[in-house]
Amino acid sequence: MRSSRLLVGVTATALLGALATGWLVDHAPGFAQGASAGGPPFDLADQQVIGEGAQLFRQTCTGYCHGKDGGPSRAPKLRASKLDRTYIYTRITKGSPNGMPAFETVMSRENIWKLTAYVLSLAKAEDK
Amino acid sequence: MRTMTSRLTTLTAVFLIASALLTCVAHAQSTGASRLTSDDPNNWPMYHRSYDSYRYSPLAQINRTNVKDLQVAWVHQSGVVIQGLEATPLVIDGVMYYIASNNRVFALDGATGKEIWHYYTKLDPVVTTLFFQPYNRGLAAGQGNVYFGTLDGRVIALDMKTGKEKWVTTLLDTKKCSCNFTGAPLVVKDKVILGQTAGELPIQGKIFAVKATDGSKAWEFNTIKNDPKSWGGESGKFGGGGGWMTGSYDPALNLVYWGTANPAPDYDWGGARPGDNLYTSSVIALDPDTGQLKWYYQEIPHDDWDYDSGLGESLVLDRDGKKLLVHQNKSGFVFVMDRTNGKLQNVWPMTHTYNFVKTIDPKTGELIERNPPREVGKPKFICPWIAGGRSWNSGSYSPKSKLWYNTAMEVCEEVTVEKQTPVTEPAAGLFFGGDQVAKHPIGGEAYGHLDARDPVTGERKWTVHYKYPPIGSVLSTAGDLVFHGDLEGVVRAYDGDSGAELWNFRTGSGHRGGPISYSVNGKQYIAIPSGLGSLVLGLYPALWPEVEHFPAGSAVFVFTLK
Repeated sequence: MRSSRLLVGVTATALLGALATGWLVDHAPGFAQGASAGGPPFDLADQQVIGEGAQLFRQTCTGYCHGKDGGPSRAPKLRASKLDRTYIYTRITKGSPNGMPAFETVMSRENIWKLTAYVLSLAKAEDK
Repeated sequence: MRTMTSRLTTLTAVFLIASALLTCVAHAQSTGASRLTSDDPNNWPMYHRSYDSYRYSPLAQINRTNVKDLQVAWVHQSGVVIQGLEATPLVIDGVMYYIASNNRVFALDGATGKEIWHYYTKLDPVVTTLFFQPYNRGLAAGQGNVYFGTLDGRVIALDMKTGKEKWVTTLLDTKKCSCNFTGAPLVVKDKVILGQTAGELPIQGKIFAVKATDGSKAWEFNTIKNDPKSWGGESGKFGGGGGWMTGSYDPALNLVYWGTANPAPDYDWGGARPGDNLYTSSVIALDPDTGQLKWYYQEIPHDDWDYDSGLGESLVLDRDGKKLLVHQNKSGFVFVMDRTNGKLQNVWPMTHTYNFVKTIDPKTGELIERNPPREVGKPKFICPWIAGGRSWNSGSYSPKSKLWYNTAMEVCEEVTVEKQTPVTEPAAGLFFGGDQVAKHPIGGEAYGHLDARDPVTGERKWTVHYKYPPIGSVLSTAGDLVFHGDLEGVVRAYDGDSGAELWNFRTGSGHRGGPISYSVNGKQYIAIPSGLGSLVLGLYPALWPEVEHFPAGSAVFVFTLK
């Protein structure tokens, strides 16, 4: 009984820790938060998903807006930005009052998650 | 005697009443179409000031002797700085009209800047999903109205005196096409002519005319020719084009000249759109009454680089008995045509940094040794960059000095072509077929310049260099002055003959719009729209990281003599 309570406590602490560090938010399929209701239908760290997101990025987030590979532009730089997935998903979905288009009605939820996966990979990448 | 005096008094009264009535009639007509062809030096009644697209003011009160005494008369803030201030204001009979981001329209007292009215339209929320937004480049005027195309595909007429809506016509299904209007219309006789955005979209771009009095559609011209030789397979369905900037007009020939945009996808991986892709990247001459095509000249057959023809001015110029049209393509090459039939007279380059061709034959217009980016996934070094040898901003031609004052950009890029399937559901998605990043030219730093040149031969008289390639339009005046604002927010007046800097003022944000000059109650003014940004500005930080932090703005600065 006691060990059982301890296990629950340890699990809860680990869960809170994972939330605090953002690990769970960034990796777990199905983890829902805010505008990302329902969560991603795949692992955002999956290289194939990131690759498909990169292609979508090149086709929709051209150098006019975000820089190539998330490099410098007038829009916020995405490389080494430490943005979390909820922020990224929400921003792609709803756009921003500073002029970023909202993709909610013109792109499927799955594709927005692929874009999120790619931008998340940029956010964690080294600056260059 | 008394009777005589009485008769004289009566006659005088009749004369005065008649004069007053005539004045009233003249005033009522003052915003009509007839006024647009007259050359009242006090006004700036259309986007390029005159149908010949000179952007030249005949006013000379401010000249090279006294320009040093210019001071701020007033400033007007539009209130929305997103994408800056890209417009060229109009001034008619002492009232300034201009449009800012989110289609905010203002009428201001030209002498004091005091607001007479403003009009903020309610935009469809679809606008927030678009690539081309929320900027607008200008208004048109005529028939007592001001006209503009909206970000959600409408054309609106406002009463010039009150700012009240006269009519609204929806021309585009923006929810479906993701296309809209961002350029200033052109009023020709009883019609308002304007072109849509389409060059980066898998749609067919058109140029429209609506009746100035009630907004009913008069005609439309499809810039995608229905011809399987010109568009192989299904490619024409997604061909892009359109005509997003403002054309010129020759009343004597009754022809409207309009530059068309690039085909979609911007880059062709080989077989994306077989054929020459008419009428994209072309200059077309249309009958303004019917929209019928009279002639065309395709500057970039099968455009492989996004080198639009849909930008800047088309100079209507007579020289040595020839009726010429001078038009700059985004590639940086200037095409000189016979405007009666479109036959090529000359081609010359505004820039010296280009490798997309070895050259363009000045007699035939052939693109010699084309260098297209075609290999999928392999970056290719191309000059000029996608922003062009010049962007959509306009130069200015002075009939006094016979010089064309025009800007240029010496910048390259690395293009990576990628196969792309056009997306049309639920709405048209961007259709670039690749991406790009700015690069310095081989062996040197990228830069920009303002030149004074002969518009027909390209002979250069003087040049001013800028670290950051400029994207603002140019104004020349009969006072032998040239005004131009740079990317860092400094507007300068140059001596039109020598290029010597005579005056400058820091407005605090860079320049993308069109400077103008006008006069109210005998006093000349210079109006300078100030405020970054612009889509192309997003390309700069790859070469100049500090540009990311150049402040946005949206204000009209108006100057006059002390």
